[in-house]
Amino acid sequence: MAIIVKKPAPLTFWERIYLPAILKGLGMTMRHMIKTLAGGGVTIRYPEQHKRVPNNYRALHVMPTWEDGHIKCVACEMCSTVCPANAITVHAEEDENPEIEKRAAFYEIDELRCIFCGFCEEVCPRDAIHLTKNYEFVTDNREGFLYGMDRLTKTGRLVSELEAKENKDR
Amino acid sequence: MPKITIDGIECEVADGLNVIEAAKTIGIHIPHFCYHPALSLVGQCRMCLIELDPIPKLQTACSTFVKDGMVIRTNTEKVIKARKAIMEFLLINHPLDCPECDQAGECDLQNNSFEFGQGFSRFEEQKRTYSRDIPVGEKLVRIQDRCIHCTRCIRFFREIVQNEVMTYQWRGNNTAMTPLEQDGRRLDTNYSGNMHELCPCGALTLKDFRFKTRPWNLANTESVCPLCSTGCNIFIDHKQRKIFRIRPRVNMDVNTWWICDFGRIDFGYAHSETRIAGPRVKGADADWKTALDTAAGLLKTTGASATAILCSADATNEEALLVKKLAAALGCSAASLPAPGVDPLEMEDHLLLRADKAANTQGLKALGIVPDPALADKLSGGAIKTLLLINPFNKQLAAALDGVRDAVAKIPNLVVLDHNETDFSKAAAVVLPGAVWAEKNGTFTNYKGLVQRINQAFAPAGKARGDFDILLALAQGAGADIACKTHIDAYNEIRDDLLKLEAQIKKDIEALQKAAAEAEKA
Repeated sequence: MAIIVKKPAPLTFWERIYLPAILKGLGMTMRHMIKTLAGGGVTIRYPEQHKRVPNNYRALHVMPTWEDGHIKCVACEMCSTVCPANAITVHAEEDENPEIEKRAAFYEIDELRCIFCGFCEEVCPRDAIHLTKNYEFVTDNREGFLYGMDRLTKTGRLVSELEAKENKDR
Repeated sequence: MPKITIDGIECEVADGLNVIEAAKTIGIHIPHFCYHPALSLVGQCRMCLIELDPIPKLQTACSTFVKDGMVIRTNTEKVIKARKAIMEFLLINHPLDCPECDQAGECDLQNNSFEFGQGFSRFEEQKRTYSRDIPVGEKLVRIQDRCIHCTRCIRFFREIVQNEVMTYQWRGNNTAMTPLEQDGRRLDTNYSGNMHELCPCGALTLKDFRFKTRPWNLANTESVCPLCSTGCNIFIDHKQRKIFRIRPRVNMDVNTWWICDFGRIDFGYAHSETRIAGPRVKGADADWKTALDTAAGLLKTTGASATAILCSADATNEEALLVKKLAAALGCSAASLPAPGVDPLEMEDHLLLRADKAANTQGLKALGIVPDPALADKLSGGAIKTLLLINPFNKQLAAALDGVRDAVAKIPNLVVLDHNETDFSKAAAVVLPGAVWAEKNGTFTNYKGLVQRINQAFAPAGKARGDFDILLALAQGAGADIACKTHIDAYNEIRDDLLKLEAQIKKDIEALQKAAAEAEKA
């Protein structure tokens, strides 16, 4: 099979002398310089200030609980099945309450493996996992990124703190 | 051979088939819940409705048998609409708690709803619920809310197990499948576990597998059950080198659709804490080379007359061949022990379970490793100074060894090849950790002489090795020149012997049956 190479169209005269493009670029630089000098800075003073992230931003997970503190997750393993990064481990156990029947005995997300695609949230039939906007969960060891049930049920608090901070910055 | 037309495809099918089975032969799937090929027809789920020319109303495919010239349609608008209506009807009271339900993933109701139903429900009223307090025995979990009243369980216990332990209770909307726990009838029959596959929704699930994992996470390895000489065909469902459950595999020559609950639930020994962790020499941990060299050296020390190999009938045919070759190299005898009061052909119940609790008695027989009654006397008399004891964990061999337990433990050069710790492995000079059946490749010969392959599901646990490799190393250490280096080579070498035995056993069984029939006549 013949390979057809599409050659780009030859440059026009104005393109060949480069001057308009250089001036255009210089103009953009000047505009930003003047804007910054005039006080309308583009830099955010993180961590004192926080950038406002969009509402569909996906970061650290949270596992909501019912009002009585009982975990919503029923360990159906949908999230661990759909997870493209194999970041979720779930083990189930019998719940004392026959109405609930099944609950997670062990639930762990490896946030280093997670690619924050949000499939787990989308697939969950019990609305038991969400991705929050909290992107501040760095630690200096790998174990710190293993989020078990005990931590995942509490990350909700961090979210509200973050949102309060965001509102203050605004 | 009636000629019929299904969905415009003309075909010739076998006599006496119903439309579901006839359609299956040409690859057309007719959805159904209550129909099962092993059970009587009831035609009450109404899922298998088809159009049959020239009958104006839809017919149930399960109870319609093929006749010459029949014209069947399974994909008309009328049929599709009817299926949709039936699915909606069945799901009215079904709780749709698939996330909690163990059946999800292999559920007929789920699959058929997905394929033939509609994605929404118009039912807004309160769903019917039942009490969960009714006990159903040790093996099953019953959640009556999920039941779609196909009565497969009732028919299974009535027709297959022949122990009527379930029945309908109440009528109409309140109908419930209820266990009859009276007159000594309990749901804990030896075949209750088959409900796990038979129940088309999650109303009856297996307690042993409950919440362990999801079925789609499991790898399925085709194998054969090692717990008795019937040789039921099974799937080993495993994940991360651990067995999660055993399921029957359809084989009309052996176990049809079922397996007994021993085979289904008794696999714990594969992962028990008493698995032998590694090779040992004189009670101290050793590496494989030392252990194999020591064992091969020990077997040669006391001369042929004071040496013996005692093998349980759980060995595969290939391992048995190596045992025979090892025995030939040492000049000693290789035998098993007669199991006390067990006839290899005797049934323990009317369906599958046999009295012979070893997988490969017939295979060992074909290769010349037969029960030797004199061996027990030799063992207790102290004439044997060197013994290679293979798999004394096997219940049958353990029972046969009961009388000579102390004498065997006192044998100075005792080499034990086994997967789990026993009194013998604790007393042995050399312990070689072997594999359980799920970790082996090979063949078993069942009581009928049928040779069936077992496949390795996962590698032997920890430091253990396959019995075939261990025996190969021992035989080579004893100076035998062995051409078969793999289980496939070994199988090719013994195939003719095994086939000869199969023909012989078939003849014997036929003769026995004839004699029995004549005796009945007389």
